[in-house]
Amino acid sequence: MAGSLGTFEQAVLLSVYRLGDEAYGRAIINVSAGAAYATLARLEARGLVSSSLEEGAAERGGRARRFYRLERDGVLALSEARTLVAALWRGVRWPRRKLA
Amino acid sequence: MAPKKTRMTDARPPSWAESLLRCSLSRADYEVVSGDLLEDFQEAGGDPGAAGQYRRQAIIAALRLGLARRGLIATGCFLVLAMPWLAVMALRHPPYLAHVTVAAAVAVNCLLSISAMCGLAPKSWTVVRAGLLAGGALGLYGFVANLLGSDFEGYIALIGAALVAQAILSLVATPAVRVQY
Repeated sequence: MAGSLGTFEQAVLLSVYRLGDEAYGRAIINVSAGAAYATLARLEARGLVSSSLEEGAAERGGRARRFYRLERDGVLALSEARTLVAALWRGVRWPRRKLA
Repeated sequence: MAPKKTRMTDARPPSWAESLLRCSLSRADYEVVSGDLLEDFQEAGGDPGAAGQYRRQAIIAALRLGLARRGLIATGCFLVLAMPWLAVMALRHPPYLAHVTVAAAVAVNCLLSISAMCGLAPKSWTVVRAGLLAGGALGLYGFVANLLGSDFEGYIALIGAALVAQAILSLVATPAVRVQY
């Protein structure tokens, strides 16, 4: 069991997966840098993602970029979250009535 | 989504916000966070709105990634030093063994929280944080009981307040992670 994920954590992990080699801080999710990096640090501490620093481009004053990579436990956690949501919705007719 | 090409401007981000980031974050975090904020600033054209956004983001990042971690390390160090003192003082009040055991558990948990904030054992953070929250509840109880009791003891109030502060900071702080270059 990779542990439960919050909605925001799922969004961040999915974004890291989608971006592949281009997954760095501001590209991953467009929220405050503090919130994004705090979440990424938490996910990294749980072993769901790993990160490495790479040299930055001129538009960021040469400052390093931290790139993230989805780890095996991250894939498992996302799969579990996806299965859980699918199980929750199974057999539910939505919306119950046609919306006016 | 690939990183967007950023339009460069001559405008500079607010210097005090840059200094705040430099003073509060580790070197690696400073580079990464300030670089991202600088890209956002450049992309927004460096106008006053972009500067305001830079300031807000810098304050949030400094609080969440820097000051909360440092606060947790500082309260942890204080409590590690205070626990032997508490254990000695507890020898005046039974049950001695229970008091000494609690003091030892708090000291060990503080050491673990310090190591998590320094990036040494971040995986144990969930368990450590549960311990810090339990310590905060104990500290709050000790603080209030001490205030309402007949004998006010300053060191109990101080340790109780530190335990509560540590529990609050643990809700905001995230463990540091060692960076690969």
